[in-house]
Amino acid sequence: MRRREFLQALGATALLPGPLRALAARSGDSPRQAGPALLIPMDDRQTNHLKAYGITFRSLRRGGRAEWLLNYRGGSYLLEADAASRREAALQGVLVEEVSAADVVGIRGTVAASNMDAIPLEKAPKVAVYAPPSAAPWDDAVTMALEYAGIEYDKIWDPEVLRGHLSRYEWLHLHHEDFTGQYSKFFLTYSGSPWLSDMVRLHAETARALGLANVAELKKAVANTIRRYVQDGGFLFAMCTATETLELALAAEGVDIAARFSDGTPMDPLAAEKMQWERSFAFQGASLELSPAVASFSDIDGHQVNNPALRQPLGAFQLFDFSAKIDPVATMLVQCHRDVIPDFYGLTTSFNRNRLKPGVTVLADEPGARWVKYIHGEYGSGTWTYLGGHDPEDAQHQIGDPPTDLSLHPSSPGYRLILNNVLFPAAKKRELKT
Amino acid sequence: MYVARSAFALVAVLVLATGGARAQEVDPQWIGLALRAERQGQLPLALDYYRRILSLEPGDATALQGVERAFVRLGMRDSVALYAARAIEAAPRNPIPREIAFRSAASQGRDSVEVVVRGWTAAFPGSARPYQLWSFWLAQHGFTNDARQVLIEGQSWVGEVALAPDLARFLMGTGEWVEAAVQWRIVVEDNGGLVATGATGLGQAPVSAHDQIVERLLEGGPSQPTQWLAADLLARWGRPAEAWAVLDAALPDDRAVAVALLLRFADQATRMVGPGGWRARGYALERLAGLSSGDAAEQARLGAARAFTEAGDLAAARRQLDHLAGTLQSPNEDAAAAMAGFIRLLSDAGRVDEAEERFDEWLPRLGPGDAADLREHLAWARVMQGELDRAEALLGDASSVRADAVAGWVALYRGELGQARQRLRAAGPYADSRQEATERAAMLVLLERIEAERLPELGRGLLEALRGDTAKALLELERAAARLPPEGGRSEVLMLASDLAAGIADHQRAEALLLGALAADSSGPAAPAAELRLARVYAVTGRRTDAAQRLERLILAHPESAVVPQARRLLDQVRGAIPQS
Repeated sequence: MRRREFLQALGATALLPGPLRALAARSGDSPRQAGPALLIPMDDRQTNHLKAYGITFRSLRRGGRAEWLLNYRGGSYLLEADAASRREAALQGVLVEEVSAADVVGIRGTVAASNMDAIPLEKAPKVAVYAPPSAAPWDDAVTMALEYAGIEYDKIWDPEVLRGHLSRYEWLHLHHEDFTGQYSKFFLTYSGSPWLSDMVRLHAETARALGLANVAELKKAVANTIRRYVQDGGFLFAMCTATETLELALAAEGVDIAARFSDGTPMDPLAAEKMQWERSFAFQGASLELSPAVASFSDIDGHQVNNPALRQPLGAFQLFDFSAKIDPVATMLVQCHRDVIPDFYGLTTSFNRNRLKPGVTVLADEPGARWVKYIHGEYGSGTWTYLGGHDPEDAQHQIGDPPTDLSLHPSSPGYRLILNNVLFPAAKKRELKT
Repeated sequence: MYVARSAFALVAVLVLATGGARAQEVDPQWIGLALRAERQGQLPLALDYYRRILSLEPGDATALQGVERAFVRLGMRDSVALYAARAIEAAPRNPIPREIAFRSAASQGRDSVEVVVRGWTAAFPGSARPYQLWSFWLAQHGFTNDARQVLIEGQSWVGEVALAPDLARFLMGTGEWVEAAVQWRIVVEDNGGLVATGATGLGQAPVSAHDQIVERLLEGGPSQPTQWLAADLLARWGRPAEAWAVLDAALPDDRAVAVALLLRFADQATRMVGPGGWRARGYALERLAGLSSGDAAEQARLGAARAFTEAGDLAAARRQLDHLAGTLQSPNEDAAAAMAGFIRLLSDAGRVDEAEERFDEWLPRLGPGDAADLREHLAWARVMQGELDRAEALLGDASSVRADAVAGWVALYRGELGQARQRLRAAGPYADSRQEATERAAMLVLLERIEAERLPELGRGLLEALRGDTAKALLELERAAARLPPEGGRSEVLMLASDLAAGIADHQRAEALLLGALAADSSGPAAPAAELRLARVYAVTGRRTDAAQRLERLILAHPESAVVPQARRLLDQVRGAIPQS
């Protein structure tokens, strides 16, 4: 099923009048709960929002069925009432409420009558995180969230991607990889650091082992493989500098956009004119940063954290309110108990509106600012979602800072956005089967 | 008519010109008018007056400076050169036109400047000024080596001292700190008043240069000011003992100078961290006391006593206080505070008898707050020595909440649990620090679980733990636990013992004690805490699965326990869900 059909299927079910939906539930065509169930509220009463995603994920993993009650009490989950979920919730401090069949009917009535919807979740997606083998989980907000919530994932890197392993996964996450092959331009400030030397050596050896001329070429090859993965139906979620540099790498087919320190030749001074933006997912018409001495890649990023002349202060971003029944995908991605979230820097913090392609769905922006924070779109049979910034609970993270301890932020709204993305493919999978 | 009038005018001008040139002298009002015009911003008018003066007296320095100012403000500095050249010709022994000529040439390039400088040095062979300006100009324009060379060459003509401050500053700017120190040595040996200036400059030197700088300053029989400079630097660099040693050996006979140096050093020493700084301050003030008399000597001696007390130097502090005891004119707060600090120091050093003697001796002169504090301090010191009777004697019939707290602990160490409960409860939650109040509250909770009025083993165990003998403490606590009923405090006492065992990394014993605690009472109020401690022992010893099982059991069996959040966090840690903190 293509995405359009998926949306139609979701919408058709959602738009059924309440009684008919209940009937549909009884007829066995829908996974909706008919008996006592566990409700995981995701509003302010919830004691550990992040681990709630893990409870739901593992319930699906065990073969259980669940529903995502969009906009109902902060985007709650309705699970089959099994002992394992109860036990896990108790152990992890997640608030669950036992609800009777009558309660469920009441909830459905509320959902039917409001800007809400109940999305069936059937299968836990297989999750891959793109990261070098040496990366610790604490380097990446997504792996931190996955570890904390107890959601299983595999780490894959360039060799696995280029050998076609992406097809094994429904969900792929990219974080702070620099797909332009310039090591995030860390040469400017971290030259001589052992970790940077290790990174350079690892990348160069990998490129050589895979028969590619240099790291910039390696990363372009990986970016193109990721593009095909999305085109074929994969779900891509990227944060921080992976968003911007993936787009640049995709658009720079046959164009040298890497500085001399990376590939031995200077960047093509006419690179910006030669970019093929039709190959990218989200952005177009960006101006490239030509100086290897400026730790910035292009004017896609609105905040330019490492470019003192252009750096913008942090504000707060606001999640958009979508129609759950008409646009369930976007609604899923913005489920949160907070509408306004403090912003956080990353090598790429935000996305300038004037660089977005038409048709990109803006999920969150900073009101009045020229940039947006959180975007989503379709590409081929798959989707991509970008969230700017590095760590929602460490607004100005620096290399060498202590890792974020999510047990101190169990209800982090920013981390919820990340975890929404993990469960989002579970919804689609179910519809793919119908 | 027109012709006749023009002819008349021409004649008049010629008469004025020739007659004026012969007879005209500088009008004394012109300089005032020029300055007024300059102040009012009428620069052309000012310039006119200045030039009139210079046309008659080319060497007039005031007018020449005025011309320079006006031309500079008009953006015509180059025009000054002509007037400066005339002035030099007219007044070759006046240095001011030379300097103005230099400034004018400075904007024209190196060759022009060099010409001016050569002329200047030839006319004034003993003047340092041309070398200073020339060197500065060269350095500013990137000719660093030439700039250095000019100063060195200048020193050979005008003497080292005259250009040593300039060369020192230049060398500091180029990071040649040791060479700069040599120049500062020349400077301060000539003028001791510049020690502080030299120290401020050299004080910025990187750590790697410190030793060499000091070596250069102190080698080959340095003068006293050079030693003061070295002492000042050592003090700035946080090397108080060496600083004092250098200064002590270089104190001058001139009492006023010595006092100033000592006061400055004592002040510097307060900014040094650690006992070394305090000790150096003590020495300086002790010397100061010896050079002073009356109140000044008394204050210095008290300051020294406090400094030595802070440094933990018992003998030196005693020396000051003994000296004071004989000379102190009247009791005062400073003296009492110094003595209070000294008594604490004595008791902390285990010299409780002497501390108590001093306390008795000074009691009439101590304020009530200091007296109570010291009484409790000494009582704790007696407790630490195991002398519970003497501790109680010191407390006497004191009835403050803090005295109640100490008395409660003393009763507890005697094993008098009923009395301990009563006194600790009376002390309430506010006496002493928050930590002490928390410890008291935790002990009260334990005592409430135990019904017995006396349990000497528990008292001995706690006292040995306090005194640092964990092995004995563990034995006594195990004995105490054995005497208690399973649900009447046994678990709590075993947990207490397990904390001691874990504190000395005896995890095996800690585990056994905690298992014993849980066996005694697996569902009582202490059980969740025992489970958590046991899980911690497992986690520390790498038994992550056992730790996770314990924690899961704790959370599921005691969901309302106050330790559940800690248990969840530890569970996340042993599972690797969050970074190890």
